[in-house]
Amino acid sequence: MSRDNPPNETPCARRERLHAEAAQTLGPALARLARAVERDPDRARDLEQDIHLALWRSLETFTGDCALATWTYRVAHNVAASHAVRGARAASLVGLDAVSEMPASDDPERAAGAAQALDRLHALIARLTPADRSVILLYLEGLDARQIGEITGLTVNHVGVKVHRIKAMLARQFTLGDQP
Amino acid sequence: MTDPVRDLWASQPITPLRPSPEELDRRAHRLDRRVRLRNALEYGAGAIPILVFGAMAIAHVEPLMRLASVAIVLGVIVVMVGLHRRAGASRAEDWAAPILDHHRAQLVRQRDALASVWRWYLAPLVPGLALLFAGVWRMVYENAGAAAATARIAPPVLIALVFFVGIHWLNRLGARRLSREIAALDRQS
Repeated sequence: MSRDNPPNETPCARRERLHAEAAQTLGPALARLARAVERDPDRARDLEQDIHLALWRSLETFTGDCALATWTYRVAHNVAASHAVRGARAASLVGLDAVSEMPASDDPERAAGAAQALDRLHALIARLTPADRSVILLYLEGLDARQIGEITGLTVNHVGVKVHRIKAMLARQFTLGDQP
Repeated sequence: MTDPVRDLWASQPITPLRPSPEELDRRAHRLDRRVRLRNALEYGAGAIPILVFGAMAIAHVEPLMRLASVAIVLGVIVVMVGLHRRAGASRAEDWAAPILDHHRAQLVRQRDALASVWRWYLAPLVPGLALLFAGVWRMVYENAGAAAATARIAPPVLIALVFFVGIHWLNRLGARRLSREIAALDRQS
């Protein structure tokens, strides 16, 4: 993602360019984040709109101190976390350790199929604390430990430990390799 | 090496939004309007006791009741300023901060607001209410004696006490819960 300002670019045009760039490259990730945090499709769409709006407003102050992707992920995850806190005060959230100890599905038919697997993955993510939820979502988006650390504020070592647990937990919970 | 769960995640059928700058500007203005309306309603709600007790401060024949009304008006103004300051702090949120920092800042702000409810929300109203109860007691006392005056103000004083102590206690509980969440977050980073 480019951070260089074209000559004579107005602040408005710069913001439009940055937002278009972020939406182009990270739009699918933002949509997946909204759906992971909000299961109701209409409310997920609203959350996605809210993320774009917060990003749009925040880009006025984007100075390029970090990558546009890092900035975008931070804004998106912060908006999503605030939304989740408002929507699920009563839900009991757990850390990766507790989720790892949950029994894997013992119903082969239920576990079979990508749609069901996705449902289970969403249900698992929804139970995580905001910090662990962000780490697993960023991991699923294909980011490495350094990038996840920059976005979350966790140390790279700490992210490494969490990612290790995530991988072990996903391997235990999902046996997608067996699918046709 | 590919990760099947990551592949599954990326394969979700989604249609990402691509809002135009005009649409985003429209939404931003709409949101600002909603915030302004909400603030106006809050300030409007605060204006009602200010008007009622302001009128009492001018028109009441009892000096103690006039003094009580002035104190209540001042107390409500202090509460409104407190609400305004806290709304301002919430608007100034740094959405581009690292996730843990942002989450911590939110928790700290909420914890501090709850822990200080006594100072900025309840205490400013106490002098006015105390003077009001004293004024009512005095008026009844002059006509019916001390026992009748005490019986007259005892129920509202008790209700106010339970209400104030209850709010303070619930907010302290909430603040303690948030402190524990902040400590847990600090252990993570």
